Amino acid sequence: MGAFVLRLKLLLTDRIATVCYALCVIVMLSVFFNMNLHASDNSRVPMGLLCESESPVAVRLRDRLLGSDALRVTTGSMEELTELLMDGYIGSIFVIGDDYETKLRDGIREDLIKVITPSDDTSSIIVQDIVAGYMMYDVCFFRTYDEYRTLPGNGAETLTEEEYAAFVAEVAEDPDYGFDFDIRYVDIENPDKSGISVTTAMIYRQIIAGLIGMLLLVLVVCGCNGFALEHGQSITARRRTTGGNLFAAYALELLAVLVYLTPAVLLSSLIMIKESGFGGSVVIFLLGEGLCAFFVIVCFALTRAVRSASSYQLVGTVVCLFFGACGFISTFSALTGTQVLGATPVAVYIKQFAEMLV
Amino acid sequence: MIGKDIKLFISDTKTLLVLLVLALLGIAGVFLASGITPPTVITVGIVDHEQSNYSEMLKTYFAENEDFNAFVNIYEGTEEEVNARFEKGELDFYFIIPENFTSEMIGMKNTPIKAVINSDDKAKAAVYGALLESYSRYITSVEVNIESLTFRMREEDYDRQLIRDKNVEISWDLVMTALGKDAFFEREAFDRMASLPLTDHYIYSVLILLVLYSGMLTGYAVLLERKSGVRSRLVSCGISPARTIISKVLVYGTLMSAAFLAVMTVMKQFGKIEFSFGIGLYLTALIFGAGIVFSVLALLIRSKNGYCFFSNMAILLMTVLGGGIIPVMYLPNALSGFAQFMPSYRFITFILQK
Repeated sequence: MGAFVLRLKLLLTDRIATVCYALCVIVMLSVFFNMNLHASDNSRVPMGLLCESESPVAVRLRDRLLGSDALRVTTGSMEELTELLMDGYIGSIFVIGDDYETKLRDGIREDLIKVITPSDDTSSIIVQDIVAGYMMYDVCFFRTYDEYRTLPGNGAETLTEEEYAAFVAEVAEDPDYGFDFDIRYVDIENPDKSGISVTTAMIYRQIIAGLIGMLLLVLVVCGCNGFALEHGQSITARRRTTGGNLFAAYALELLAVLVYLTPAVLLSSLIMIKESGFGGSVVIFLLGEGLCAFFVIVCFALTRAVRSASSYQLVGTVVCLFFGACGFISTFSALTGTQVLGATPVAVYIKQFAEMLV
Repeated sequence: MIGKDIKLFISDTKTLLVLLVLALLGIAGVFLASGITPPTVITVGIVDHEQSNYSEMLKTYFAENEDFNAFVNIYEGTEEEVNARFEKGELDFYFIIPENFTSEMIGMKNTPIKAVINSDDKAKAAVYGALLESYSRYITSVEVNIESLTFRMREEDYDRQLIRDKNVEISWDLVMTALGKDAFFEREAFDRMASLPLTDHYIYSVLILLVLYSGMLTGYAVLLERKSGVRSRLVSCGISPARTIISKVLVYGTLMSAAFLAVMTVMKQFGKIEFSFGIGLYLTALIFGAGIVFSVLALLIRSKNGYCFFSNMAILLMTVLGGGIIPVMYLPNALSGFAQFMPSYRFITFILQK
């Protein structure tokens, strides 16, 4: 146990390093906590909206879009929205022109709304689909009202547009007329997780899980820096001359690094306790410990391989980036076609982390 | 001083070798990443218990629609066949159209279409779920308006046959309108701004991350010099500390810039990334800026471990707040305000704005 205690003492008595470690963990986890807190809101698709018309139909569409669960709508003048688009705060600008209602009344169903996007953009097609959902009611209304208005007279009094709109609104309020898909989510790999709905906030939380994974990897690289410094100062060579079981000693020292990093792992497992519950947090904690344990061994191997502390920092960083990038890309494997990366450590961590959230 | 630092840099063969290997790995990584193309086809199963003219017409519409076929594969079969394929993971999701779906819908009964989504991949499942929710809004709009017209015509005692004919005519028209919803929009490309695919976004983010790490390396060299007592000896020889730091920043900055620009030029030759004189200049400024910032940090933090912890975390934080991992538009408002002070954000917007 001597090696364990010695390594832990070495780590803890470097006060500046320990203060930096504590400070960084608190700051980073606060940022991740804030991101998780707003996950539902921020996972909505951001778009800019300019409503040039004050007609009731245009205003109604604007209000529906502002109340959308799937969209995060920012309104403003064209200059303001253009600036937001150029600064990357929104992905597209939808312009409801002043002739929007007139076009609908005239039965025009083309070019009703102008969509301004960065050149070569394709992602706004999904936003278009969502916006079209909110336009459909009015498109259908004017089509059916036009049909109603032009019916051959049969003596009955024809409703005015306002009366007809009130009539349709009454029908729309009837719960029998809300069509919904009966959606069922089936997890083929984990059938016990089937039936739980998956939201876009889940994707957001997976990314936060990836960030936590990256944070832990970076902490491990820093935690193992002492091995690289000692190796560079030939302390390893001197230890060999003293004899004894170096393997056991190093195993204990690696354990000490793991213990040193445990407070960070513990805090990181509590960030999503509201979503995962206590049991889930325990599993996330164990996952974090597992990830750190694996990476402590990798980093120790790196310190032996590269010998100089500067080189170790470089290589350690790149290995962190590599595993982190694999994890992030695998999260979007369906969207990027890189399922093979799912077997890398951070990818496994993210996947298992996400399982605890559903 | 500059000559000494160049010699020091070049004589550290291990670090140079590592840098060379990393540069080669970086190039390989960019080649691999730019080779990643999103899968263009999703596979959807359909179990059609209805087999009506409506469902047949809709299926024919989709089968003959080239745009739709470009990204969706439809597999139709019995419930057992479709479910067996789904269980094998061959289908992303499948629909079960219930018997008498259309007639019940016209008869004001809402028999929902069952949609079974494979949730092994949470990201994909969330996107499909959101899209189906959006499509249910289309169907509700069509249904409510058609039913309202039918009700009204009944209340006004129109002929049953006329009501039925109008119902069929308008139903088909509105269903086709819903399917052709893309025509609602007039798309206009904003010339002063380009879009960035996800993989390219991450390539540039990693590039800036490496730029920041090059600054960290400069700072680390400053720290090592001080810890080993070299700086105090130089001071005793009349060389000011500021001069030693400026020399380090200049040498490391110049050599790192040369390395980065060389790698980017190679990648540009293969058409893997966008690279221009302006981008090169911007990158060089960032490298020198990072070198200065981290050298100052190395003066403030005296412990090597402490410096490593702090600078690593600062880099990770700058990357997160700069939208290097989650694009800025998806960051909470409280955090996205910091983006404009972050190098990855500034660099990516510099590339995108024309």
